Amino acid sequence: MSQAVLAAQPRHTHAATPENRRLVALWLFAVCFMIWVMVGIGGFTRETGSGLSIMNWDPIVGALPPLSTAAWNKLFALYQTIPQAQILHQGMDLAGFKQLFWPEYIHRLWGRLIGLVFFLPLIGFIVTRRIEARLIPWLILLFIMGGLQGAIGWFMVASGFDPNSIAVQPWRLSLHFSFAMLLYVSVLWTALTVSAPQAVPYAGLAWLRRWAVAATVLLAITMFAGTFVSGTQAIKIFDPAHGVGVGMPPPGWPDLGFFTDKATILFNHQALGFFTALAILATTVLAIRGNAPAPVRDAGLAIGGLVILQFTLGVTALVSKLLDIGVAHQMNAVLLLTACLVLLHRLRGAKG
Amino acid sequence: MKPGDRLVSNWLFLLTFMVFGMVAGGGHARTIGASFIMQDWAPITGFIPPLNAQGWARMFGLFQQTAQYQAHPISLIQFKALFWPMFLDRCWGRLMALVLLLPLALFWSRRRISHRLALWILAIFAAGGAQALFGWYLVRTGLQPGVLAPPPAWAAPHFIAAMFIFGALLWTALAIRTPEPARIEGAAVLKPWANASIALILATMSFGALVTATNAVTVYNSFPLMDGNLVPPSLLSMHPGWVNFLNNQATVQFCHRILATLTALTVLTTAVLGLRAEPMPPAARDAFLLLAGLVALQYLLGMVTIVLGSANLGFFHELNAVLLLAAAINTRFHLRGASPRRRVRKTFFFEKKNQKTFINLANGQLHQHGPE
Repeated sequence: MSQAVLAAQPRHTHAATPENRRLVALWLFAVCFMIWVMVGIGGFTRETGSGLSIMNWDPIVGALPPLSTAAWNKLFALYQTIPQAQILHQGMDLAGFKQLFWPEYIHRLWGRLIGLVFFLPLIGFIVTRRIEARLIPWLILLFIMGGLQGAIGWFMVASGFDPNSIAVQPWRLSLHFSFAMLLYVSVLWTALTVSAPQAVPYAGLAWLRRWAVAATVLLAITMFAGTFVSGTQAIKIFDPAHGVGVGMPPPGWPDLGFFTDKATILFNHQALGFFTALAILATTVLAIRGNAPAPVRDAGLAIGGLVILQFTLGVTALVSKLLDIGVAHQMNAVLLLTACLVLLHRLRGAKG
Repeated sequence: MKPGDRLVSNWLFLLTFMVFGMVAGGGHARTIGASFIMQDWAPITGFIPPLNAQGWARMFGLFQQTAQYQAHPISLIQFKALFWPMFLDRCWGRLMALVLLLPLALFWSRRRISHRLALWILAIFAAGGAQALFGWYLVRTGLQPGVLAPPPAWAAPHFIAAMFIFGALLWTALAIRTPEPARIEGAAVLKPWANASIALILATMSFGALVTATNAVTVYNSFPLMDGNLVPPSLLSMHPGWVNFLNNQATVQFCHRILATLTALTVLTTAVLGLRAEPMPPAARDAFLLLAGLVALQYLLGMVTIVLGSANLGFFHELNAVLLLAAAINTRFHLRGASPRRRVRKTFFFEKKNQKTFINLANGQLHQHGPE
């Protein structure tokens, strides 16, 4: 086929061939996977308290780590001026600083890499006309949102340099994570729709979709509440011997600070997690007992299995106070959200 | 005997439920420390409690010979508070014997049940009697010097034997309720999974009984690590080595944790395979669903029990284990009619002749052609 014939055809009919759709979906799923890894790296950065180790934000030049001793010393000297260094890390040497530095650096580098993996194929797909025209503005918007997420990250880190501050402000951390989830959900839904453009009009399953929507909304709220547990490291106050953090509202609840009091934050996340688990398990049971077709049933099974794992990980993180398990809990939350969205996507054409 | 006799199956379900009650009663008596409280066993007349001060004094006097009393003397009032739960558990056992024997005599004499079934139920009764005798010897260990609680080597087999009786009754009741297994094409692969689930649940329960008997719930109250270690350092500190697997708190708790995780993974895999298998009748599907729900609950209960170090919560963990075992047996029962997936016969170009035979076989006309 000559170039002239190609150009004469309407754009979308050329773009939406199965091969092209498969390619675009694969690319978007890869971006989703990279965001998921980013959540893990971000959680690890939070866990190690290393988020404040780089005091400047150079979106392009910052991709290079310090390459000379002088550069290291300059960065270290800058770090020593912030309150966290003076309060928590008195007498830290350069080796200790490097340990603090790398997680934050890798977190930022991975973000730049996601930007590249999103941007370069996008340009390539546009130029080779492998992508549907209506998707292009949407994907460009997603790319801009990705850049905005980097800026929000910096906005969050900057709050950690306030006087007497040893960590970033929890609400800014929550904003950073929530915006990441917004991006993730947008990319994932786009990928799912590109890979399965036709909604299957399952008859008699609209009720199940309502359950799935409710479960997903509850999950989103619980994850939002979870960001404050992470932001304040509230699991550190767990003390079963004195009844602190064992699933009971703390004395004075709910008049304590909803987003500042650690016991309140912990309880809110626990209570929401409990009801979310019930809603998701109910959705699983209803999908299975309602003889849902195999794709819906399998997504229902996935949310059921992942929520059991998620609840177990949550309890384990709490009782062990191991922040590593907290990070696993956070990453599994994203998997659970993924499974919920897959279920919703498969049910999007459900009728009656 | 008519097929699917509901009266007979209900009777056996009632007995199954009564065994569950017996486990609850015995577990409760053990949790409050009343295992050795009745140093007296009169199989028939024992249903009469002490009726006067003299009777109480005699019963209390027998308990005063135990090492438990000598280590921790209690008053008569405290003795009575511990006495009643144990007494009730034993009366429950006698009631079970009556609920088994009287209907059995009735059904058998009226030929409502087959000789085979009657003899099988008599065998279960004999197992129950042996279990009572075993329990009595378990109680008698309290008279040995230094034995303050039922020894693990006695308590765990007592519990597991009860589980075998429970399982036998449950299976019999289910088989009478539904004598004809529903055919499930292609589900035979699930049978070994269900069998492995049952075996692993029983193995985990054995070590659970040892955790209770050694009071290991009071140590290593952390999860997932055991006080910071994946494997506790005192794992094999007792000699000879096998004793660790009975009496060492660290070892039995470690084994219980490892087996519990393995069991949970196996049972959940079984459930997922069963829930994804097609075709699957609704009753069998619900059995898998129940199995998955109970094993998740059980793991969570176990975690919370060990973190809180609560023997009371451990009691509920124990009861839920019995329910989980019942769910696994129920699942296996529903797979009785599972058959291997029918192979789709592939025919190749050089198999023309065979293909013809195959088609004729399908039409039932093979005999008309005869061997070629």
